[in-house]
Amino acid sequence: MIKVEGLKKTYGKMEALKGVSFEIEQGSIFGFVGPNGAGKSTTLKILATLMAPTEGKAFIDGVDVIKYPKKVRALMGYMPDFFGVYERIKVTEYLDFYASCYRVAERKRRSIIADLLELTDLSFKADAYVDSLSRGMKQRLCLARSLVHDPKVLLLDEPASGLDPRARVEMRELLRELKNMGKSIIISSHILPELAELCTEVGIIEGGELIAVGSVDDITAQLQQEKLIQVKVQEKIEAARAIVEENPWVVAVNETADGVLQVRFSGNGEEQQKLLRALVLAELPVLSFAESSNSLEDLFMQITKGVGR
Amino acid sequence: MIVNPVLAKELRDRVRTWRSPLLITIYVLALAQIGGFVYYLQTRYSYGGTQALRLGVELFGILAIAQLALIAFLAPGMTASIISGERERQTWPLLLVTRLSPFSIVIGKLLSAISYIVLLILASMPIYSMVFLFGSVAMRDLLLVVLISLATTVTIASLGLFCSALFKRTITAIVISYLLSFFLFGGTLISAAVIQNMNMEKWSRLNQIPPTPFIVNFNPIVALGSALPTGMDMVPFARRTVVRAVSTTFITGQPVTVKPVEPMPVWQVNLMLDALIVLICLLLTVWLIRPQRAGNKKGG
Repeated sequence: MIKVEGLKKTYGKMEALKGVSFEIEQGSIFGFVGPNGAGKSTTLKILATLMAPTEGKAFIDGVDVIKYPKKVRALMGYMPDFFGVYERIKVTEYLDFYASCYRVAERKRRSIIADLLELTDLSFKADAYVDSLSRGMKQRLCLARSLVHDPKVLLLDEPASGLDPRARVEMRELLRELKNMGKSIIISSHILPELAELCTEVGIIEGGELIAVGSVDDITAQLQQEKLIQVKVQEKIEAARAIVEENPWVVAVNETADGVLQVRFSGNGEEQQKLLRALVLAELPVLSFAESSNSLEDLFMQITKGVGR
Repeated sequence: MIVNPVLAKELRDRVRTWRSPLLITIYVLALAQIGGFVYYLQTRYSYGGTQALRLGVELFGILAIAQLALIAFLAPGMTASIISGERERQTWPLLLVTRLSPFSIVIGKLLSAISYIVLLILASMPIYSMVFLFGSVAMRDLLLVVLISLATTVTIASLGLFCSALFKRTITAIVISYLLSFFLFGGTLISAAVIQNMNMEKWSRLNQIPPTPFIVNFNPIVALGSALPTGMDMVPFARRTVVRAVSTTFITGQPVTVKPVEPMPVWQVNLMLDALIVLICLLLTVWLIRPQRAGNKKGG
C-alpha cells in the first residue's frame, strides 16, 4: 500500500534523509520511531505531498507521490504534529469545510460528519467552537478531519504527543478501530513503547537512516544481543563482583543501591551457566541469578544514539 | 451556493465577529463626516444658483477620493495576513493536502477580501446618492468611480496577498503591503513630480510643458481625477499634457519634430496597469504556495 524507495532529502549541506526505504502492507499499522530530528516528519511530509524529496521515490496505492500529488491527496489523510484549527469555527463547520475542500458531495457530508464525530467520540461537542476543545479532543478532531474523504492511508505525525494517559489510551483504541476498518496507517513517535503494542511493524530511524525494520519481536531479537543479568547475594558482594568482572563475557557491571549486581552479559546460555557455577563454587550466598529482559525503552536507547537531541 | 470552500468559509468567518459591522459603521460614518464637512465649508456663507451645481460635482469628487484613500488604508490590512496567518495558525499544510488547487485557494482568499471591501463600497452608496440632489453628476461618473474603486481594491488586495505568500511573518507582510499601497498612492506622485522637474529644462527649450511621466498612470487617485468632471482641477497630473506639433531647431543645430499626440486618459491606462499587476501578483502567489515548494522547511 505504501512504498518508499531510497528517499533522500537535503537542506543545503545537511542530509535529513539518507536513502530511506520501506514497504507497508494494506491494513497494517507501521510505527515510525526515532529521536527528535531523525527524519520522521520529513518522510511523512514527502508522503503527504507537502515536500519534494531530493532523490528517491514514494508510492501510495501504486501512485507516485511526486508525479501525481493530486491523486495521492485523495488517497491519504495527513495529521501533522500540531493542531491546526481555526478560531470562530464550530466542530461540524470545521469538518464540513475540509470535506468540501476534499470535494466530498454536499449531500453526503452530514452523515459522514456524524459518523466521524461518533467514531472520535465528539458527538456531544458537535456545536462547540473548536478553540474551546481540550487538547485530547482537538487531537481527535484532527484525526476526524484526516478521515473526511475516507482515505485508504493515514499518515499520523506524533498523534499522541502532549496527551494525558487517558487520552493516549483513547487515541490507541481509535487507531485500532481504524486498522479494523482496513486503513493502512503510519504513526510516528519518539517513544517506542507507545507504539509497541499497537503496531504490526516498526521502523526505527536515526540521523536520516532507517536502522531497523520489522515486527517489535523481530527487532527485539535482532538487536537484543546483550542480556541483562541481575545477581543478588546475601553477603560478600565485593567478592561476587570480582568473580563476575573476571568473566570474559561480561561487558559491564553496575551495583544498585539495594545491593543487586546488574551484569551486561554477551555470552550464550552455556557461558551464563558457567558464571553461575563460578559464583556457587566460590561459596557465595547467591539469592538470585536472573536474566531480565531489556525494556523497549532500554532497547530504543541502545539502538539510537540520540542524534538531534 | 458558493462553490469555492475557502471563499464560503472566509465570508462566514468575516461576518461572524463584531469587528465586521463595526468596521462598516466606522467606514460609512467617516465618509459621511468628510462629505458633511465639505458641504459645511462650501455653504458656510452663501448657497444657491450655479454654486449648488458646482457643489454637487465637488462633493462627489471629494467623496470618491476619500473612498479610495480609505480603501488604500483598509485593503492591505485585510489581505496581507491571509496566507501568513494560515501559516502562523498552522492550518496552511492542512489546506495544501486537500484536493483544492493552489489557484482555487488563492482565488477564494482574494475574493473573500474583495467582497468585504465591495460591501463597504455598497454601504457607502447612500452617501454618494446625496450628490444627485444637487444635480450635474451623471450616472456614467458614478459608474466610473465604482469601476476605478473596484480595480484599485483588487490591485491592492492582490499585492497584499502576494506579500502574504512571500513573507513568513504576518507583520512583515502587512508592513510591506502598506508600503506598496502608499507608494501607489503617494510615491508615484512624488516620483512623477521629480521626473517632471528633471525634464523641465529640456522641454522649456522647446517652449513646452514637459509630458506627464508614465509613472502617474499607476496612481489610482490620478486615475480617478482624470475620470471625474472636476477631477482635473482637484488632482495633480490628472490632465494630460498635450504636446503641440513643433518644428524647431535644437541647440545642437539638429531639427526636432514632435508629432501631436492625443493621449489616452489616465484612468484607462491605469485600469490596464491594474490588470497587469493583478495577473502578475496572482501568478507569483500561486507559484509561491505550490505544496511541494511551500513545505520545504526542515522537519523532524
